[in-house]
Amino acid sequence: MILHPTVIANLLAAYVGSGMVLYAVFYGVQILRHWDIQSGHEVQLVLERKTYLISTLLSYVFGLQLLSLFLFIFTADSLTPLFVGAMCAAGTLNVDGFGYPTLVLKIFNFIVAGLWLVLNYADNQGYDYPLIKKKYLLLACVTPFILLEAVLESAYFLSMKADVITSCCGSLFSSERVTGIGSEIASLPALSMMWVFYSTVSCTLLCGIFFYLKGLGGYLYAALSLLMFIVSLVSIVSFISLYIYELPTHHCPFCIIMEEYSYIGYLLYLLLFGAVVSGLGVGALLPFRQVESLQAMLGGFIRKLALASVILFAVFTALVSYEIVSSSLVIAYEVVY
Amino acid sequence: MTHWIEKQRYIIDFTLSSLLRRKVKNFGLLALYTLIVFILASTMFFTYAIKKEAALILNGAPEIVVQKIVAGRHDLFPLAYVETIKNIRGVASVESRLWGYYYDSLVSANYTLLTPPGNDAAKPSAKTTVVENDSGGEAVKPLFELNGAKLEPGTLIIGNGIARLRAIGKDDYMPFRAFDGKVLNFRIAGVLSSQSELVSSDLMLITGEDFRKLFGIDNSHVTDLTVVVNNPSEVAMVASKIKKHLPDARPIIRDEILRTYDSIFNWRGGMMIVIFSAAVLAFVIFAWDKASGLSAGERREIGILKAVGWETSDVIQMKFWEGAMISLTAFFTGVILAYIHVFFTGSIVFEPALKGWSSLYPNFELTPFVNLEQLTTLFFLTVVPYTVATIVPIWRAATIDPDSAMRFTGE
Amino acid sequence: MIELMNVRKVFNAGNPSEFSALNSVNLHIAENQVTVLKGPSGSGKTTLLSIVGCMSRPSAGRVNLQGREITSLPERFLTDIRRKTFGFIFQQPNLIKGISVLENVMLPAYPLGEKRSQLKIKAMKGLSELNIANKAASKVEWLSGGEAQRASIVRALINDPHIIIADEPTAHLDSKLSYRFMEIIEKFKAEGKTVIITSHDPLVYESSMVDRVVNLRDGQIER
Repeated sequence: MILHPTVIANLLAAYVGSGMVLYAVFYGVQILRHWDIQSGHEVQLVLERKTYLISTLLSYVFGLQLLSLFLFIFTADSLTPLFVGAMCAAGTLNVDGFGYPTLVLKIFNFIVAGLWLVLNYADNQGYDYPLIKKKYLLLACVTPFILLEAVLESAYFLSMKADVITSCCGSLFSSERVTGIGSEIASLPALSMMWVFYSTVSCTLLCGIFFYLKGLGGYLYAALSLLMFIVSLVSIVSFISLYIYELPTHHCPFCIIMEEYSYIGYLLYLLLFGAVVSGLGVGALLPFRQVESLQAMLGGFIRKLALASVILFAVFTALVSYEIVSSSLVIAYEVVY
Repeated sequence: MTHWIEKQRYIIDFTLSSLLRRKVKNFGLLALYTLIVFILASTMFFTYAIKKEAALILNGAPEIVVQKIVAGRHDLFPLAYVETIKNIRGVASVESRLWGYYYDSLVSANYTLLTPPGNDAAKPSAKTTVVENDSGGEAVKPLFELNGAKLEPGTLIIGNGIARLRAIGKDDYMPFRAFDGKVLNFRIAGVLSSQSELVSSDLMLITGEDFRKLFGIDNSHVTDLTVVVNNPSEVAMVASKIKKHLPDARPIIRDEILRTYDSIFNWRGGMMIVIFSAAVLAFVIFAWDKASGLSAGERREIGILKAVGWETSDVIQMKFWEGAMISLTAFFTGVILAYIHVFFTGSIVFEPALKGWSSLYPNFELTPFVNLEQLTTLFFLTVVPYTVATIVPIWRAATIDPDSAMRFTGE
Repeated sequence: MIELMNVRKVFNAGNPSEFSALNSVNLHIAENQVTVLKGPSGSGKTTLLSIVGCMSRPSAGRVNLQGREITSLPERFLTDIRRKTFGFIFQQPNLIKGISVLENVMLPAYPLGEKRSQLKIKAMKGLSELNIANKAASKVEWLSGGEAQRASIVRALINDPHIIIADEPTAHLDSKLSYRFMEIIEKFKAEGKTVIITSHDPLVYESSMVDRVVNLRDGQIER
């Protein structure tokens, strides 16, 4: 275990987040069991009041999840000097087997928490809480993942051991670490990846605009936005980072959030996360369009979500293109590593 | 959307005025909150700045230092080894160094004595000289500035800390008791500049000849070696070859020193935070208590708001803004105060705990160094616990029955 | 307009301290009339008023407001209906101390997010109609009893409600001010608003403008 202030902050965030979710799901289960909208009994009134508590808690968890995602990367980056062979966050995350799973889970949980809030918002518009059971069922399903995240994160930080000088001799012969998935993504050819990226962008944006105008193809758009999200993440590793760092060999997806690159990564990731949450939100809400109490507003809300998602993706693409055009790096041929 | 913004503006305005109406009650909370942020921020700023300082200093250090180990202890280094190391492929140059400690019982202080490069009769010299302290890699020394003073046999150049402690200066004399009991008297030729005081405070420069006389080291031995390697990526390889050819040698790589140094200060900073976490916890309980113990006046106010048409979530939003205002005020005040404390007043409060201990206390100003990571960490350690502690009390307050306003009788 | 069917309200259900404030109340309140709910204290007047005014939900029974069933609506929607349909005048002026009269008057409109300039015009108009426009900027603590009540009336009207609900409005007023209050009520009636008042003050329930008096005792309506 490394007793670093930032590590403590990370663990604190993970435990506090899990605690809040547990607390929320405790009342969520009560709601699932005793909910009866027709009743005017005190139990029902109390449960209705609890819904306010739960949505407040979950909004905080959502915010915390986003902040802690960035804090996690920050921490990984600042611990770099402690490990032989780690050049930046990418290396530190590889220090033990828990780094990358934690990161992936963090992103996943952030997206699901965002979807829950979208669902919650829609539910609050209906006068008879039409989605209440589904909403709390989703909450109950997410909880294990958030707890698992806290467990993995603890395991990650607790099993870390800095490579320091020991009293008997220098520790210099610590083995060089082999990078995992990162290196595979990095070895994807940049130029062809660029083609994939821009074709996915065009498909996604066209489909989104079509859905916004005609109201058709919503599920396709939701699927495409997820695909677009993944392709964008892979692209950041494969070629976008190269242009930002202006180095043909540096593929790190984390360094772009650092000061040296004027925090451009925050903007890129925020756009991307916002876009995928609203894009998937479209798919999550579509099945409920026919619900009587939601009919009046849900269609409009879904279209707004789709529009928001399309705009965020478009801005993301514009930003990436700007970085590529203004970069002094030119990829004229494939570099083989 | 515009309605939403307008609504938030109304709520914020109202929250602000209601906060100001309860100045006395909120002031205590705010003061305590600020204090907590201040303490944690000071700790963090201090450890980070000192880490940064060390990293900057180490940039000038040689890639490898080689010591000789006998029975697990640091021993004098035979000059005969130098040729072996020089012959290793990839080694650009090898320098020998003479340095050691001298305990002055008069002032109970340990001086670091060092022969600057080129002052040892036994060996020629190099440009950089670093003293590596064996006791946990704690005090890694950088370049020192000679301030133009010339070091001759029979003279010394001393660090600022020594000058202060002994109240001596240029051309004063300093007596030493040599290894064989003889008393040697050295004249002070100059005092080191104060710029690098963190590392040169207890430093004393001496010629090689005098050094050997004082400690009884013969001409065939030195304290240790520094090795310069041409290609940075070969450092580890060279070090392992040294170990292979000279099994009793102990090569230490610069990055390892940096790592060790880093983790020691991380550990100290972390320890401080763990200790202060008790304070944070106490504060969180206080905040919880404060948030749940609504005064009759506040209950009444929320009751009125709900009766005239505010919804539960409007009240929650109001309380959210209230928390945000208190948190941000406390956070920024605390951070700014800590900044002043650490970088302008030399962190009077924490110095002893964080910097190490010695009677030769370095007296220096840290270069201001604050980054987003520190601020985020601070935010997580202070604002997040506060916010979470107030959620449930806020919700309780917000769910006061709207018809309670009808039941108020009497002022 | 407002129809209550078999409305019951039970507090502390299931506890030994269980007590029912209202028992199968059936009531129809007609539009553009002044209705007075009369009865001794503890008769359930205030509870009934809070159910009529969408402030709380009945434990059983149904409430129809303008043809819409509102019994099972969540609080979120009840609040929305309430602030657009009802204006409340309480026994106490219930103004928030420390802020100006104008701000107090504008409070109910804050969650609706109306533009500040327009809202201000509306509030000032309301204040000048009741002759307290000159007090708009002063703090609530400085008002006399009558002025405070008038300020709270302006506040009740800020969202232009159809129905005015007043709970014991004259309890803390002397006769002169009570007459002035009834004049204001008359004006509401002339404007086409529906007024519901609880009171045991003869000055109120014997007034000529009252269309109907409902007697309550022990949570039930006396015939």
